[in-house]
Amino acid sequence: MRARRAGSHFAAAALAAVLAVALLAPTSALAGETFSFGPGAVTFARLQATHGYRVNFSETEGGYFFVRVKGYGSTTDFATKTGRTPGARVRANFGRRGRFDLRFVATESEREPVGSGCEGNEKYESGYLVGRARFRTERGFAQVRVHRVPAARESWSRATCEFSGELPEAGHPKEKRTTFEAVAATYAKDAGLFDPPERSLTFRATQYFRHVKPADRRVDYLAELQENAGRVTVHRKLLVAAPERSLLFPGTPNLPEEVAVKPPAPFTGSAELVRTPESTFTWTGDLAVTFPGLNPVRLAGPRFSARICNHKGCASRGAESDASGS
Amino acid sequence: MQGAIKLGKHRGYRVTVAFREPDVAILTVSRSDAARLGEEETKYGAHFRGSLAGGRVRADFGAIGSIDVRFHRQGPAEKAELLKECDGKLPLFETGRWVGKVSLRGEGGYFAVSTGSAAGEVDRVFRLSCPVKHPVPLPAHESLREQVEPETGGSLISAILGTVSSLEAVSTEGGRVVALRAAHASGRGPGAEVEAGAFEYQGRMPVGRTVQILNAPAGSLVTSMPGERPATATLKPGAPFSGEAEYLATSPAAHRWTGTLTVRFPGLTVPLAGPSFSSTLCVVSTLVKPEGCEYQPPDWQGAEESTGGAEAR
Repeated sequence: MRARRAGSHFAAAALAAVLAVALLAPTSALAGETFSFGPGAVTFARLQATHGYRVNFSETEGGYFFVRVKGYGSTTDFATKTGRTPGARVRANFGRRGRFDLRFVATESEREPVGSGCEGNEKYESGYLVGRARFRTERGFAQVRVHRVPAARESWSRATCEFSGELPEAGHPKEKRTTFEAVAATYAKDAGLFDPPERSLTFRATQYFRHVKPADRRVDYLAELQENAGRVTVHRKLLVAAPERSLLFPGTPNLPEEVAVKPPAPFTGSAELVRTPESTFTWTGDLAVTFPGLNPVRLAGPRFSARICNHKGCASRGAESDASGS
Repeated sequence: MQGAIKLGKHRGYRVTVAFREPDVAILTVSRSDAARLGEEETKYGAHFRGSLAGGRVRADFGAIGSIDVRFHRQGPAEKAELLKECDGKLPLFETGRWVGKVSLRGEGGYFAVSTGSAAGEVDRVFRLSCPVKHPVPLPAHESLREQVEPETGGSLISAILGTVSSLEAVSTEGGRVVALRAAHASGRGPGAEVEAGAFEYQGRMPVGRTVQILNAPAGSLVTSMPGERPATATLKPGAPFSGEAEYLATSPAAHRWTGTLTVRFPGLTVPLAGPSFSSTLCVVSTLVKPEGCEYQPPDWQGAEESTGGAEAR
């Protein structure tokens, strides 16, 4: 069980707090600043699901329950608000997708400093979640039934951390040669200016520089579908690497913003971003993606806004109308 | 101190006269088109006689007409707030009626107002004394001409987003300056923003006119692609413009701007293309020139001497 601690939930929560501090504080004020965090706790378990997928689930101190289904380059996150302060019981109702009603039984317990430049203590308990849980994704591409599963519970007191002024860098911009993103979003009729969309569908292609990735994996294609409507939010993500030849720039050198993509499976078809004589862009084609458990979803058309950037600048088009995103 | 006479709408145009100390009177005739984010406006400038503080003003707008009015306050004056640190008399905002004689008629009668009374207002601002750490620069004094002269050269949207294509043309002929600008802002739809301005003196009276459409129909401005040879552009924005004009780079060092394009300003219809115009076209890729057309050096060419001109409607 201890080996699983590499991706500590405390560390993830602390990182989120660090980023929040970094974003809110002036740069010059970052070094030597401290911030307080917690107390908090999270209970989590990981297990093998059907059809080669893996599932992990967790309940956080914020009263949220997450289920992550991962496999074959896809990640699907289901989240619901339980509103409960987590204790020994782990409970959540995902409606037709399933429910969790489990009790944590500790077999080992250890206290130690939280580390990572923080002062405070954390308690790590390993043991089992026992009770009943079942979860089934759309069309049953991954299913789990649980009566007893190895699990862990991590809790920490109020911790005070020192912010070193250094932020971890996730994919330095200088590694990216060109990024292209197309987004179709649907908003509720009474949505306010800052409300998130009910549904957003994103296609992203990132071309890396030669020194960063080998030619046969130089382009990353990502498709994301975020559904916020209803009690359960679902975030689906697919990521595949592809050769450089899957991303073409037919307009270079004068029109580097024109791009043609033909990503590999689970994507199908192709699409093109073309500049028109009216200095706007069309994003057209039969490009589609199939998320696990869903029908293919189109990734091009007038309802998508699109934006392409290189190291010099960006070019973009606005979505022509709201649409369902399906 | 400043004041205004609100003369209402006449033949679709909103008519107001604004007074600014020491002696500036500006007659503004305008109308807007919400669907296309459009605005048409003509300003006539004059130096008034009388005293705004005393509430008696006379202004002569040449062939357009004149006003001779006295202000009658209605109700108590509204007092504005002062900054905490400042000493002085509170600014006063007075509403009431301007009574006397107003007789104004636009070129060709595109608007006409004749009345003995109209609603209006007077803002009285008094000398204030405020402690400041550093001297605050006062705004530069604007001459009558500067207050009337149209300002073309880009909308707020263009300034924020930058433009990826823009076409400009200017003619200075017979004492009248006519300017045209059409542009596509970065990331916006296929409709261009199109604006035109004209400035001239009618006798001693400066007259400035503008027409601005921020959302012209798709196809209004069609250009060649960045780097494409020959560089071309066609502009056909629709009312209050009519006709169309074409930009053609006949060689890397020469181009021409020709066609039937005209604009109908309030009170004046003028051509916007032809040999009297200098023109320049910019089409860029923001992945090559991220700062957009605003920062590209213009390539003004054209403007032969000509006797062609405008026609008052």
